[in-house]
Amino acid sequence: MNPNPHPNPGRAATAAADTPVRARRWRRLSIVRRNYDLYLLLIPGLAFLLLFKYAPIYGLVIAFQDFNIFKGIGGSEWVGMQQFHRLFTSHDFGTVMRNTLLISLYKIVLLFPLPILIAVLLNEVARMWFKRAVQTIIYLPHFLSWVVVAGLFVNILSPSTGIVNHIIQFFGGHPVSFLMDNHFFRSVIVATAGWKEVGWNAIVFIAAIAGLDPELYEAARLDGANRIQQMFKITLPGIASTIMLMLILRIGGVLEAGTEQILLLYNPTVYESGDVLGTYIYRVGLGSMEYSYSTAVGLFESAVGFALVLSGNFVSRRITGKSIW
Amino acid sequence: MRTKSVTDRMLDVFVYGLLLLLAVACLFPFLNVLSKSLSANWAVLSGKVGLWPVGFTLENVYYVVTDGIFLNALKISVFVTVVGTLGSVLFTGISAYPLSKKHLPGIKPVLVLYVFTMLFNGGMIPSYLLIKQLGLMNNLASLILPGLINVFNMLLIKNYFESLPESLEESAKLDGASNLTIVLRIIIPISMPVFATVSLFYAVAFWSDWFHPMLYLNDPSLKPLQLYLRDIVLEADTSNQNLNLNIDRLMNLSPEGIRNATVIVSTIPILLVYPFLQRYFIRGILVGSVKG
Amino acid sequence: MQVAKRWTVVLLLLVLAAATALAGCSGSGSNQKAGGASEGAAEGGSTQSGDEGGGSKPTLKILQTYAKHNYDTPVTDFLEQATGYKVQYDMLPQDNAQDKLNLIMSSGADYDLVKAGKQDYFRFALNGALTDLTPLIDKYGPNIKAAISQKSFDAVKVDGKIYAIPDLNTSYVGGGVMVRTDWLDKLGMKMPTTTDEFTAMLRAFKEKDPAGNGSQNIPFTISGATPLVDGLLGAFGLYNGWNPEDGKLVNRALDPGLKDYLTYMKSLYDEGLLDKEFATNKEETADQKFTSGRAGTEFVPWYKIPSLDEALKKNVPDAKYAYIPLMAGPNGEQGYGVGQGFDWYMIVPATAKHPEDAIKYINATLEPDTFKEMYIGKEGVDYKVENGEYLPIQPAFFDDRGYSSDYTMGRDEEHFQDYWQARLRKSDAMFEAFKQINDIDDNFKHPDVLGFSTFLPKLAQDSQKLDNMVIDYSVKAIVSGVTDSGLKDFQNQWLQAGGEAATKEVNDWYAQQQ
Repeated sequence: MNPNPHPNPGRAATAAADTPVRARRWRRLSIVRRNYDLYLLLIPGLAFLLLFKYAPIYGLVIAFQDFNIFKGIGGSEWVGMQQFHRLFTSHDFGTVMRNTLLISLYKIVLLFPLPILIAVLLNEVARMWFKRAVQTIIYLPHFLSWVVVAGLFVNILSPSTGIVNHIIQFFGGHPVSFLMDNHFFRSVIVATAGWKEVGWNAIVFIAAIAGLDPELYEAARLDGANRIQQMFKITLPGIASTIMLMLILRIGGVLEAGTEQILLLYNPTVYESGDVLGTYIYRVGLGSMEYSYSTAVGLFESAVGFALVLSGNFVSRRITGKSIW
Repeated sequence: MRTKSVTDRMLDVFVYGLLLLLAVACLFPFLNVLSKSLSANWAVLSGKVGLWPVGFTLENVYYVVTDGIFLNALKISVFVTVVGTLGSVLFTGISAYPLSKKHLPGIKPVLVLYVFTMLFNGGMIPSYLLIKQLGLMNNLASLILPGLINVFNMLLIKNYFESLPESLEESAKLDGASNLTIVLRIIIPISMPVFATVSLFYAVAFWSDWFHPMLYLNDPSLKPLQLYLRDIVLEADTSNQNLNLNIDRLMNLSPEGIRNATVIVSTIPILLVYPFLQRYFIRGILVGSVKG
Repeated sequence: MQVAKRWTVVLLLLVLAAATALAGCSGSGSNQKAGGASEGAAEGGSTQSGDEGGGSKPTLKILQTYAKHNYDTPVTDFLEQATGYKVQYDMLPQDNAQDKLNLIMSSGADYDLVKAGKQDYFRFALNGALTDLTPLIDKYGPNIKAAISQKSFDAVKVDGKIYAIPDLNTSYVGGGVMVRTDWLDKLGMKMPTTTDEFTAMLRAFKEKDPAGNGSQNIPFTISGATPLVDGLLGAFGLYNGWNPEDGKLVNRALDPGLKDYLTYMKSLYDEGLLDKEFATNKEETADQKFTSGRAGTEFVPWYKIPSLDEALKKNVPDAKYAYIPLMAGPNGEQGYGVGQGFDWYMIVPATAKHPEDAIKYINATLEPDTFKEMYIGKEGVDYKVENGEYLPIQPAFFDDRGYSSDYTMGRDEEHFQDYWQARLRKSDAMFEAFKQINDIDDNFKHPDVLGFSTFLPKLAQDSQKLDNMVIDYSVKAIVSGVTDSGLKDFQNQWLQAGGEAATKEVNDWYAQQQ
């Protein structure tokens, strides 16, 4: 072993051959020392994280208790996995999980690419006024609350007076009871969520495209690439990391299929296809103040989400080389 | 100007056409809500309002807007949003930069620490107790501090930093610039699109937040706008399973036009903010200028 | 990299350890010290509730339910002047109110008075969060004892002690089936008095289309949230959620009448007499159909009449409407369920700063003249008395006292229903409608037996969920049909979801009342 704990740089090469671990550690320490200011930058964020995010995390233990708010966490009884057992063996859990996963999957597959498409298309618009107008208009629905919007859609989709069915009948079809038909309900959920969020979700991609180097486009143009080729060879690859990031995070939320939206649009005749985890828990928990049960469900959703984010990240790293960390 | 090829023209038609369709689909329902908020209640009640107000009246908007309470709520929301957004962008930005340097030892675990909190949280009860413990009940700081860093936004910024060409920093380092100089002089100016995005996200988040005020503020004079409006909307929603309905309340309920008016009123401020941020969403303008 | 992974794990563990340590400091239950001190230091704008020196009355802190007026109305001023107490009002949110209330009460509430609902009241009492008011009422509350009946006090006792001042509600029939009487006139038909006549009437509406609505015609509409229609429910003996049968209380879910009711509604649905879209109708959708003149009949709670009246008259100026007062079913049953009990329970938290003043305050508000003036204002200014009836003077009445019911903390139980008539006359149409449906013979009004029940924890815990199950099943049954096996399945589910425990609990209590 080298008795000198601080070998001078000149001896680094031979030192590395003799004591690789030590040299690596020294190298790492020197990086840290050189970039101490960056580490300082981390401190406020970490302090915030610790205090406001990690300190309250102990509340998750409520999921393993029979929580009484007056006795507090210390005084409430432990019941282990009982709340989870209750969840998994509840009468409609199977149906509810199936609906949740299906609706979420439909939403991801159909609605994830659309904001990207919109951002790419907007990029192609040369007339600034049109671009700005469209950008502003399409994110408006995001701000309308579902409480108000649901009433609107009930009217639009009405079999007797709704505009959609008028159009269908105009083309010779039969009116469809969208909100009462298990064959159509999921599609309605996906379509209406899409209408509401697609414009807002495009913002991230619009910004990402705005950060692309215009010289790349110039070069491509000089090489004879047309606009469609530029789209595929420059724009899309340029925002690929943003796309992967958004996709991974989106997948982490798969157990949230749109609770507030569905609560306002569904009715008992379509529970079969539209009842999801969030709506089910809402109905079952109504007025009963069962904090433990709802915490357990939340913990379940978080755990699944985290697992998915981890795996999504892993897959992304293997396939595209990009990962969150 | 180059002449456009046939494919270029077809592409234009496709692009403009699709976007127009989308814009119309988004606009019409919004116009419907707007019209309802400006229509007489009997018209709204009987479903007679389409894209244009029927029995034009300002009484619903008036009901929502004229209150010392409303103006006070507006003041509070503006304050929280502005301070919150500035603080958050600052905090998030400075945290995101070191996290984008993957070669820094110990950075990865810190990232995991952050991402973990995106998915796991302790819930309402411990958050309430924490704020109470910190002595922040009935204090506007309780609305700003817990939201100071949103991990999703941070990841966006970090992602953007990572996509910047390394040559930028390397050449600056060769010129002897310190880390801090690089961040302030080079990275930040060139990252305006992502900062604009994140500012927008934070602003909207602070502006729309009703949950934290609901939890941490009891004093009516501290109520921010969204909570004020939400309370109005829900009061009229008698199908909601809430406990506050008795017959005398019900007799005094405000009509449906009110609900729509609140939506409009709460949306307008954001509409005013967006144009300011839009110019950052134009491709290449700043990248080019920095490179000179 | 092995090293990075190891560090990640270590770091995570360290952080979690730190978090737990922090949590240990913060504690998990009441922490009154922090609460009290912090509220003083960090207030954003509210006044202190400190004492203002010996002899003068302290400012009381009251936690109220949400109201748009923020309790900044003439009533506040009147009360301050009449009782000598200044009051600072805080409000619960409109949404998540119960959660917020629980949080406040379980972490050292420093309010002097809190307005709570039945479940919450009993829960707080049983968990020791409330001040025993019995000695305080004896000492400081002569008006309270005069205003509130022994029956009311008994209903709120826990272990023989009184922990709340109950606020008695008004008892009435809330709504029924509203019909376009001009359609009846046009067809030369009379108001139906049985379900058969009701069906016949709807058939005539459908076939003869008195308003000329064509394909838009709807004989009878309801919303998806109300498949259980008061008035029609009575025809099958399903007046309230729980009905007495042979000395036992039976929930609608298990009532034999449910099958008959649903079969009847299904028959209306199948014949196209009941709106085919009812399951997706929001309340506003059903209202639209009625006020636009498309629907001949709708279930309407009478508090909605003022706005419905205005809209209907604008769209169909000659429209006339009235409630169908009573409809008898196949077994001759008819009538309505009538709610009773208390709207609110005024409680004094165990950690209140001024419990005695709280009771003194309520006592002052229940002085008969004070209560009357708080409730309906000054005679000659806000109201007048004609033939023993109280009539409001518009617009003064509603400007000055429109919101007084938000302020009541216990009522002059003997008189307030009379005073309340003034409120009812807010709109003539509404008062008319109220009378149509409340002037029926008392035999046909069935009070809700559980209104004055004591705390029934299992029922309290699950009743909302159980009631929703009945509603959900009813919607499905009306649309797709009632089968014996389907009904049995539903009932089993209902029992397992807490219905069985609730039924036993309810009937144990009921047996004691006999």
